[in-house]
Amino acid sequence: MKDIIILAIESSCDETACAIVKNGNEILANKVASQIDVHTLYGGVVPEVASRIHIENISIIIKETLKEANMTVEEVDGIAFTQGPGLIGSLHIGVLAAKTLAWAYNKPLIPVHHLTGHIYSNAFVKELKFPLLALIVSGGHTELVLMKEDYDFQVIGETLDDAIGEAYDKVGRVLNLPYPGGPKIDKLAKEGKPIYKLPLPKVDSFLDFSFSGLKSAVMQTINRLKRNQQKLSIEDMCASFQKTALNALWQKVQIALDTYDVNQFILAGGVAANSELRELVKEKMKEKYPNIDYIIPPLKYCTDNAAMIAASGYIAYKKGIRANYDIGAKASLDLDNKTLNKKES
Amino acid sequence: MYTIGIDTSHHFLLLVLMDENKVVDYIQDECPKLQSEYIIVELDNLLKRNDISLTTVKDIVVTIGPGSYTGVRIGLTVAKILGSIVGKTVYTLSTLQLYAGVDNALVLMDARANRCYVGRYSSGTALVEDTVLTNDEIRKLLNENITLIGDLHLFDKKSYYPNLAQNFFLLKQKWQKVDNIDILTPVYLKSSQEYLRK
Ligand SMILES: [Zn+2]
Repeated sequence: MKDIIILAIESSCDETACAIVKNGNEILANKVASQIDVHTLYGGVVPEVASRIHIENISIIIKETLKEANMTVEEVDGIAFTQGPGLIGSLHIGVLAAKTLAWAYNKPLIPVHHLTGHIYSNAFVKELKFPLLALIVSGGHTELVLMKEDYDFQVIGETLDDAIGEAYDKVGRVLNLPYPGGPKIDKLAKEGKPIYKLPLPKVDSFLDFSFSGLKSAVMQTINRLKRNQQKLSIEDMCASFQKTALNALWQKVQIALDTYDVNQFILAGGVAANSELRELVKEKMKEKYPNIDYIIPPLKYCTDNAAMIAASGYIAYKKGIRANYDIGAKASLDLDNKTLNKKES
Repeated sequence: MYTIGIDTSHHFLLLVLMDENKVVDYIQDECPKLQSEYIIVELDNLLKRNDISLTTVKDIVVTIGPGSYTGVRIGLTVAKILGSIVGKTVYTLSTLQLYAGVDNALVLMDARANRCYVGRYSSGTALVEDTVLTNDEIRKLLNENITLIGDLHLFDKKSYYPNLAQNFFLLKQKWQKVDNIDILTPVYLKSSQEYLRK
């Protein structure tokens, strides 16, 4: 069978990324220009600033990717890009770059939903086995997705308020930790003990999540300590918050695994880089679900990158999913089969 | 050999096909906020209806602002890819310069929040650097005996937009050749520093 080579562009948040991937799982080049240093200065991602950095990076990152793969655009079979969801100004840059390339080189244009990229980043580890359950956790998302087959996405649970990564950032701010809060809290939690009792978020609906209450609980605890003139241990608070948040997460995963008959469980998204979450998944899967295969992606595939968009784009390409030149970026885009499986000419 | 002019920095999507001697054809759509959807569709239309392939287009000339931040970035992203990856030579013009053309003119372009981007040009040359002024400050400048161009409705006059396609061509001598396309950035007239959380 002829090899299929996909060039992909990702610019949904604060990384400008390009990659070239062969047959959906062999990375020929993978480049990411991260803006994290800049956004650390700003205490978070400022959309206008992110857009400005994207346009500064876009052409050079594509050029470097082609150079690393030692290829020209003529040699690729399709141009995939993140259509959404994400920051609209950031998405625009990647979408336009992809459209311009597809037009100039007369290549198929393949729209990709950012979260499907996170899911398919696991294809670099090993073959996905369906039906599977995916837990996507990041700064913008907390979703449980059931896939009965390739490119069939059913969101069975999602956050009703903050994404888990957002909760980490907010608690990080409350504790005066530098942005982004996630990695910092994870690190400090290792030095502390979960001695502070934080209530596990209560959600009535079956598989949905809620994390906004956790920030308030952390604040209330801090205030109470202050009133009682007790010293707050940042490390212990990080450990307490992390334990509570991850337990809330796992609780729902367990319900999903008990409810649906799946062959594989996969973890995806930026928060999948969290060391305690990785341990928790490993431990629980071995202990409770020894018959279900699971994938914890290597750290480099957890954060946003374009290789994952190419991996998802490869499946979309094979399914005949195409976009016309009038396709636009979408800040909010549902993970919904009807929208995702459009076959335009 | 052909040149394509691109301006998306205000509420038009303007694509101009030029040869050495004239404007061959152009597309000027009024589609604020939709330039990103239509720019490639219309580029494709423009070339196809003139039976021209992209390979015979050697140069791109693009406006780099000031103007709508998102708008400026749309044209510039396309130009950067065509320049950096496809290998076209890219030239730039100030958006206000394009609007002024070769007139002795004051160009006013809505910058929102009761401000305008202001350009003062004569024969395609800037007499003062492009800037942002409040509409109150601008009102004091309006008595001069010069052509006013742009969003004049903000000053109780009828807005006036000249033939921008023609202006692209007329300003050919003023096109600034871009030496390193990868580091080309828009002119915002407002620095990223201003977005720092106070
Ligand atoms: Zn992501």
